[in-house]
Amino acid sequence: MSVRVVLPRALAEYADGCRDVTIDVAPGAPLSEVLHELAAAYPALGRRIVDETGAVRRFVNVYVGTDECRLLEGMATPVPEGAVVSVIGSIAGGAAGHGGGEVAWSLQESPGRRSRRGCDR
Amino acid sequence: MRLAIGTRKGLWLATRDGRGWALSQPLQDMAEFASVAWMPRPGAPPRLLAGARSWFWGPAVRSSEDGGLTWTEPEAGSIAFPADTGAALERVWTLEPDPFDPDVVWAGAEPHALWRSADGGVTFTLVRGLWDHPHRAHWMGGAGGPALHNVHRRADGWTFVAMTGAGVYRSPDGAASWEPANRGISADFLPDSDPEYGQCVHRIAIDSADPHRLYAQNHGGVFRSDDSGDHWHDISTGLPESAFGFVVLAHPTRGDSLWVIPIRAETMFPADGRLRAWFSADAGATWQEQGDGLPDGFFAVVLRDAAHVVPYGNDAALAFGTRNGLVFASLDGGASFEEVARGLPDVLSLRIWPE
Repeated sequence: MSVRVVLPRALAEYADGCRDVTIDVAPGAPLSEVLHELAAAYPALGRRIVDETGAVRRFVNVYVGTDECRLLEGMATPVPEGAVVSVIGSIAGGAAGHGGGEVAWSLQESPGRRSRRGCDR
Repeated sequence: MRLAIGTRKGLWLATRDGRGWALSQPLQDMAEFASVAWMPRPGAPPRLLAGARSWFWGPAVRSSEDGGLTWTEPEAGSIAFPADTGAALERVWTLEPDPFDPDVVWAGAEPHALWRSADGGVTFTLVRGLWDHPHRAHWMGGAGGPALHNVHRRADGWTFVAMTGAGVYRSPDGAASWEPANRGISADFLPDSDPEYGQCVHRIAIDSADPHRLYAQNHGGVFRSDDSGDHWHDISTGLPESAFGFVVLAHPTRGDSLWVIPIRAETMFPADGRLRAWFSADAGATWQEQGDGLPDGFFAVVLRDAAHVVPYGNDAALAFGTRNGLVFASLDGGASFEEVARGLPDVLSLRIWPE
């Protein structure tokens, strides 16, 4: 099945400029599988959402539909057919050092990355 | 002369020409920059490395070949813990080009870890000998976190590191095996004030004339070792009370010469609100206050990676930034200081490129 993943503006630069990408996973796949496939296609995006232990970063919220995954089954949350996964930075406007990416810099392409479907919208 | 200035929110360059200092616009995104480094490259401009950390999107090491105008990082990332460690990188606290190998860069990180890059700081490999050390379970974190924040290499291949809540560790065999080297450094925050390890050494430096002579700015007091860390003794006498601080810098060309920037442990401000460097030309036997150009009425601190010294003329240039966003530089070994910048976010890291 295809899962639509919606990204914040600050992360679009790591997904070829897309804020809306589609990931193919097996029917009934858990959220972990969606994020794994997302990271395989967009490694620089993946590690900004999930750290190297596989945990969603502290100030990143990942919604399956309208519920944040930590309030569901975490990474084991099933992603139903047609559901939208939304990645959103948490409310941390007063935190020192918060911010997204605006200044020019580039990624050295990873040779083993998964093929990408490009922007859907 | 250029300064790379990493702050709590953004990275700046300051450049000095005949008219004085000029400050760049903020470079990089609005991440925290706990570490910066200039990496010399023969026949080319220096590579600028930065340990960035977004509160949202995590840490990374990025590099710039054009003095900070454009930046790059590997798509797969520059630095990450192997899966078997079960650890996640929190922050890169220091980046240190190896003075004896032009391709090698060392990184100190939180949680306590040392990393080595053999490709000029593009990708880093965890130093397993220190990561797997049996003491690890007993190392503690301070207010800033459990970090390895200081790396020094010696010509004979010895490596020294300083860690929060662990102290000084050394490796005589190219960073393969590690042992604590803290005897004599006090730990007045522990029941046993003279433990084998567990001290909170804030920074170390190697004497430029005698490589077996080390200096340490400890959580409380400044210490010296004349035997590569086998034994240490307190050299704080003559410094302002408590001799707390984060900075110790060895003069890059003169032996027995070092600077510290003391603050009062009780207040975390310099004594009487006077920001001063203290210099010793006799390995800590006596100290001289240096403050020409430094402010009174100053209520902040200078953090451990926010001070740097390089050879300059027939003396040294030193510079440091403060947690209230001031930056000062001296081109005459501390005899006088110039204000480089004000109004920045908390300065966390600073490195000088002398050209």
